[in-house]
Amino acid sequence: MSHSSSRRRFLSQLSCTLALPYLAGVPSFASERTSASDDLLTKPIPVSGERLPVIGMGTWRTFNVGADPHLRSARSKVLQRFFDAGGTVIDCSPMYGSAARVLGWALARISEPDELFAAEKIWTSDGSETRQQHQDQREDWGNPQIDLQQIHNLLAWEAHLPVLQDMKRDGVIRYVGITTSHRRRHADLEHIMTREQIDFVQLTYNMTHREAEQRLLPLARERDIAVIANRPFDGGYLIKTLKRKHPLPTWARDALQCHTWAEFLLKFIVSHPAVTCAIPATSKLSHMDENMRALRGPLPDASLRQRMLAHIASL
Amino acid sequence: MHVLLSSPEPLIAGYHAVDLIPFSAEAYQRMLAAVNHSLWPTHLLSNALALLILYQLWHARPRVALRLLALLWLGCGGGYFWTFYADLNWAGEQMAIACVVQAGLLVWLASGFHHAPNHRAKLPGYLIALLALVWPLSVGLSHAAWQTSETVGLHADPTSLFTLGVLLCTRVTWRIWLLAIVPLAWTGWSALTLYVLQQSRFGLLAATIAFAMAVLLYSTALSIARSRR
Repeated sequence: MSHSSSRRRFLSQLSCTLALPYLAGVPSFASERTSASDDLLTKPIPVSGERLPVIGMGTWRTFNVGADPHLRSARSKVLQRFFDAGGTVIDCSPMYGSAARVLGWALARISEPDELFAAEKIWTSDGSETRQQHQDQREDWGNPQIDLQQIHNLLAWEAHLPVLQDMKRDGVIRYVGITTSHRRRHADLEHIMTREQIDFVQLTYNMTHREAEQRLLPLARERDIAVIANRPFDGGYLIKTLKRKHPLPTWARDALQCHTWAEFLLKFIVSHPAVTCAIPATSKLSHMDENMRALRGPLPDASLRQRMLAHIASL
Repeated sequence: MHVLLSSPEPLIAGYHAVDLIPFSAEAYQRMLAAVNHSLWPTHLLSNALALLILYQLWHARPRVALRLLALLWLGCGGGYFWTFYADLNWAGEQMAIACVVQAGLLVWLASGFHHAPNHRAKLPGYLIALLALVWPLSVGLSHAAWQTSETVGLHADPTSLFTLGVLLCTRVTWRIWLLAIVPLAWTGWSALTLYVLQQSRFGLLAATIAFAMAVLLYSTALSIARSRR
């Protein structure tokens, strides 16, 4: 992340507002507010205390548009809207085709991307290619700092992890993480979280896939590991089904200030005390607006989370 | 987990079908259109070449037909996969290489091919090859823009189907199976792509693959039975 003056000011305000409940170790939902002025929901990265907005942006499928000038232009508008709404965390991977190059193209054309928190992934079975792939990614993104470098789907993690930890020590990256989108890898992920020094995990967590609540999310809290929740809408399946078949319950508007299913689903995810942020992906401005509205307003407490789950189960 | 609101169970090794296709329907359609826009009027040349291949088959010259077919695969590899598809899918470069290998195999193995015993035996092959030639019309099924139509020699789906048709016009040997690997693998992948992207052309492609596979298996079984007699 670029250490611009606006960012320093922002963090300074946060430290005053939030230090007490955080230091007390009480997982308070009220602590997620950043300041009275912008009302942006943020959460700390446990290992550093640096705060991130709870809604980030994934790029799977949505930013893989190749050299198409029309689609590139459309994606740059989506990116601008993301930053305008207070977003900073953008997640990508070499697996996503041209997504990183399109991101780099779009970042060069929008205003104020200074707050970017760039999250990338190493995705190669060749353990000797870690640094080269990282360098290629920087070039694709247009040479910002890659803040978080993750090992994609645990691929060759034994080889990549020590290299990434060296890169962190050298200041090439700021955080090290590991990802999976698959339940069958949860045991492996738990093994790594227990035994290795990592700053982030990225895993699937949404209202219909809550397996991570059993062991991984409690373990992340115990080990001071930040959590990025991927597939917040279950690959689009969940939100499409809800939008098509069910109206948003009226109580959600009153209790959560939610106006769309996107806000409802995202607020559930990021209200889990262990989750640092969720990364929905979209190519539509209207959907970006819906997603980013979850960055403001109240988060559900434990009893409201139960009510949300009960409602989804009743559908 | 709520059953009705949960996505279907993973398809392959923990991956859902949707996890395997890294681009959207919009990006895919626009890529198909970009191929047409950039390569026009090569379409005329590739279609003429395809007709020449069918002419050679009709006149029982499968070896010439297969060598000419190699040119279509080179065009598909360099034009479609390397230049366009690889931009959306990292596997595009590997597919471009597979196309070159396929072209090399067609030239190398052509001398071992013989024409099918009669035109009746070739009929399913002709049908599939002709379907591949009129594949551009399949955009009508999905109500897509005609600019996204796919042509033999320039796009991978009709090139693969055309190849399967041509192979089925020859006498069945092990060589057919070797040369069918790339077209079958690609059309299978492409059918999955169209399914995930909810394109109506999925049904036609899947049915054509199933028909080609059925004919190939039947012809192989018949050939084995004859050789044992």
